[in-house]
Amino acid sequence: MRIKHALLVLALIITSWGSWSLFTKSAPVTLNVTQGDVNRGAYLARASGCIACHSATSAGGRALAGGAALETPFGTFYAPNLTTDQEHGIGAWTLQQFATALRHGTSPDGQPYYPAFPYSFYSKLTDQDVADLWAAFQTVPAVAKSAPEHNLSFPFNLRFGLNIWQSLFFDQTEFTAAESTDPQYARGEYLVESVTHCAACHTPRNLFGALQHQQQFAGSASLLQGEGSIPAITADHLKQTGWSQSDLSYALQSGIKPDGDVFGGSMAEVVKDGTAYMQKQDLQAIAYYLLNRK
Amino acid sequence: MYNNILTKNFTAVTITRLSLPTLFLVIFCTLALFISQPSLAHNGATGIVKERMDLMDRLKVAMKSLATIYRGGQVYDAQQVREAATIIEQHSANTMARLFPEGSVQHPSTAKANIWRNWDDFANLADRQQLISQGLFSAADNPPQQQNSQLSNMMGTPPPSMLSNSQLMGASENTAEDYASMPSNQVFKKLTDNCSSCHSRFRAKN
Repeated sequence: MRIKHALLVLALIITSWGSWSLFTKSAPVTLNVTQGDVNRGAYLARASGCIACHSATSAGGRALAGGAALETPFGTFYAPNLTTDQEHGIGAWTLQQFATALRHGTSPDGQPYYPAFPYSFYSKLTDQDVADLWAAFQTVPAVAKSAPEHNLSFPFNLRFGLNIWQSLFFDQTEFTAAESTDPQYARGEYLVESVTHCAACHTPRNLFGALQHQQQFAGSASLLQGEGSIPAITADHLKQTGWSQSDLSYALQSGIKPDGDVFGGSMAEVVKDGTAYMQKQDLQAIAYYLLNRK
Repeated sequence: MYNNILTKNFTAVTITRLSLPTLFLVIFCTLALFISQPSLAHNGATGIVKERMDLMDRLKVAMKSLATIYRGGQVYDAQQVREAATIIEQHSANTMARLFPEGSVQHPSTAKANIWRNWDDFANLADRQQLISQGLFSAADNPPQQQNSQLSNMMGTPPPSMLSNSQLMGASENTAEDYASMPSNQVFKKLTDNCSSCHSRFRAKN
């Protein structure tokens, strides 16, 4: 009974704060660059998981036309259609709206996105990377079908409540690299903390689904149903469990761990649809950063 | 007390009667027996769950030996590729699928229950493992070839068609003849992708 009351109070707070927040929309993003490179954008779409999450390939779905169901304790999420279809995809969007979705986690009509879309990482992408992604998305064949609506339980189905979530947990500051004169470390840091968003799964989340940054990369029970646990990838843990830079880089390229096992669960998908396409020097940079992270 | 003295005397006499090499042999065999007991590594798995975990262990060893070769960590050895491919082939198709009777998700199994809701897909992946490992056997004499030379000096630049549907959905099915004519590292990649496809859908462990 107490839990029920607490939930009701929570819902009330969310409703009032959320309603107020609707009138305080964040300013649209203006990028310093407008010309993107399709090839670099396609590379980023792979590396950042857009393709893995927004394509239901195993069910025969078309590229970026909407992802498979993500079953979580909050309910079931469906990654939307990102093809160039004007009505069902993002074909009618502008670059500015695209950038605002990535940087502020808000849709063209000002609605906040659920953090299942990892915008807290994409908000750290450089202007050029955002423009490149946008250029690549322009080349995706249109699919005239919407992905299913999210099916979430109360109070998580109250989308405007996400305004409060964002104001509490969404850090919109720009990406600032740690002071390092080592270019491999700097590249690895940018990729891990922004593009490949490793922390989204490898860092535990609180009751509201927000990352617990003080336990960065400490491993966690997966939020996805039936996924089991996600291993820790702190530098100490990786070293203790015998991973070398070469092992890690090769595992991200091939999906094979040093003992001959092949990744399972969502990590298998991350590799197969994402990191397997990345350049060796980028994979080595990711491994180098993770093993030497300060 | 009497019993203790008897036991101690028996042990002492037995040990002194054994020559040193024999003693080492006994210790070695005892250790080997313990180390080779997969149940120790599988948290007390029993029955069919243990059987399939043992099968996966044998696959793991074969995959590790192949990965060592294709990572470039050692000189390419076609015979070693054939031997590993044979082990994988022998642990594929129905040999693997029959170890997954409906509902067998007892601890410490990491199999997902959706295997039985998508049995045809699961069995198809087990069959493909056989086809690809046969292909790898045939392709063992084809030297490995790097695929992405076109990307060599372009940091972060993929092939132009990366977002086309055909690229995203994967190539059409290969036949045994296709695999036999491919560079062996590319066949190995197909094999890894097959393991990965199965694990991503049907295994809980990441």
